[in-house]
Amino acid sequence: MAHAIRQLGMMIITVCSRLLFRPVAAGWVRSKRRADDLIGK
Amino acid sequence: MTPSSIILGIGGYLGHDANAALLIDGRLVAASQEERFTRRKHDGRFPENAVRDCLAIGGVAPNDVDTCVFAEKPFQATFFDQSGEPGNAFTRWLGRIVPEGVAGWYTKPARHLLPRASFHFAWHHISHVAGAFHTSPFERCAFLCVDGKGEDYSASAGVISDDAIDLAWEQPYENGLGLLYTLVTYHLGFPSFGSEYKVMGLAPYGRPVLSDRLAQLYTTDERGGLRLHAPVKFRWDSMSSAVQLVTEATGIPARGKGDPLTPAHIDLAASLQKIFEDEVFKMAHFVRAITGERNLIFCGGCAQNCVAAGKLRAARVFEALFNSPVGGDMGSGLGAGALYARMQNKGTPLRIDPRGYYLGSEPGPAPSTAEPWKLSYQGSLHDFIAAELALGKTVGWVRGGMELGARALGARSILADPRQPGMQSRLNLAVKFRESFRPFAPAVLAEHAGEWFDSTEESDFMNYTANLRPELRAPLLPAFASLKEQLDFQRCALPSVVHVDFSARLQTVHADVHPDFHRLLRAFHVLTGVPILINTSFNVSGQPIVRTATEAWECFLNTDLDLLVLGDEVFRNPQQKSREQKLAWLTQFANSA
Repeated sequence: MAHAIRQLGMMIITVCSRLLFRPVAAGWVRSKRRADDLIGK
Repeated sequence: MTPSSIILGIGGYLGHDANAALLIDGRLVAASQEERFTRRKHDGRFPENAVRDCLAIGGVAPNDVDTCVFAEKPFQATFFDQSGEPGNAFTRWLGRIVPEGVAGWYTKPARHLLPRASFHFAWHHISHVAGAFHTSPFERCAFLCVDGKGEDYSASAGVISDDAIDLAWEQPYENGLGLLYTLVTYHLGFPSFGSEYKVMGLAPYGRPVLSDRLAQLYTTDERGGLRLHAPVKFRWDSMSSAVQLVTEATGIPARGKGDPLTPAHIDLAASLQKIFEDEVFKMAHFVRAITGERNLIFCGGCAQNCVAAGKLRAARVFEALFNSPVGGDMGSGLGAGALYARMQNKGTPLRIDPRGYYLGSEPGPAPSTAEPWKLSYQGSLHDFIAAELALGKTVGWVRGGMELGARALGARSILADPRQPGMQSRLNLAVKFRESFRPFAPAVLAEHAGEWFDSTEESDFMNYTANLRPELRAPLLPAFASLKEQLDFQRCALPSVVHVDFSARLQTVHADVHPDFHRLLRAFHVLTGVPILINTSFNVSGQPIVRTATEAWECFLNTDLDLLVLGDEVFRNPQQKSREQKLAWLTQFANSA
């Protein structure tokens, strides 16, 4: 049950993510990771 | 005095080589790998045994741990695995606001064990970088981290100093250089996890004539931005079906596990290694250009390719290079812990002394069943064993705290005299039960390394290769008819530790880093004039390195080793088991071999 809910949640997040962001290119890309996100989830 | 900070780092728990490290007040107290306890090689389950071992060594209770840092971000990794796309600002925002319960499947065992600890999640590559940087000699440097897969990326680069980490560039997706190496490793008939080093060892026997054909599998650029055309993933089913792509590109059928190695397969290994080195060099030049730094840390699982690391260091793309001895996942817990400790320190330099990486528990007493086979000796243990080695005896050497990482560094080692003819085959076939082509590493007194090899730079943890000095080499024949002929050719005085291309994966042994092992090497040097011993991990093919005296004794009984050193005691092998019995014992590790 928990697994199914997690799957569903991830699907919703994926759809939202695709609506908001284009897929990134392959090869070296500039990192958008924030320094203050070093130890978050 | 009550410690003000007790940090537990946990790594490898999303994939392989689960491990733990304990830092108390910024000092590394213990580090350990789960596989050494569960006896399952590359075990990626929650490292409960390793955690408990670290806590026992540190003398702290689970309730005393105030911070637990994981060396990966489970939310971002899960998102990538589900969607096939790298995370973005949206997923990172979600990752920050979701409560711990959402990642409960991941944190549950740790929460059960560490009820008081606050949990944090470090980027996987930054864990590697922090672990390498804080054990390196640098105060500021560029970093290049390359592995199979972080949360959603396969390489990253930037600059790290005591007060800042600038993660500047990265390669998203997992089908990059690391996955290419793993895929061809599968194709070459080495399907068990972590077998890439076998291909690295095989490569010098071949010619890199298939690089162009392999290049049909990927695109790359002048910066080393390699990506496979196919969306292959680090999963058994994905890898198995993708092996066909290698066959189609090269025209060479996939080799079954245990099948004979053909010249084409050996050339394929050489071609893959060549591509790997070329791409790493391109990446290093790119990192040098974007950072302008003089020093480089090379880390991540791909940095375990000590051949590439050795060539990169010798080529002086950077003025100095540090290849972390635990740059792969087995040291990621250490890195995650170090990352949190540096954030606590807020710019105050944090230098971690890894104490020769002997960070695990002691072997304990010899089992009572070994007592009848105990030998008495005169004088010092080191002098006695050096003399036995010089007579051609093979020795299991188990003393002190267990090493962290994939290499035996003289605490859980099998040792032998490299001058003995046929020692490579003898150790491979009758002791380690593994492929005959696999080379062994030389442990050499650091002060004499330059007399034998072309590098005098340190390689204290077998993390670089060097080459035998030219004047010590026999002229090579123009061509060999077979792998066996190439293997058997007497190319120098120490063929078992010098590869067919005259390279060697050195362990330089300094008295201040490895004092006990240094003493043994010195005794052997005095006796023979050769400051070098064969040093290979104390295990058989597919088995994790032995940890306890009991495990060492059991392994000893099932091999053709001559002597076993447990602490200060020496035992001879009863040789009560037939070869069939030994091979039967070996089958329990077959899936990992």
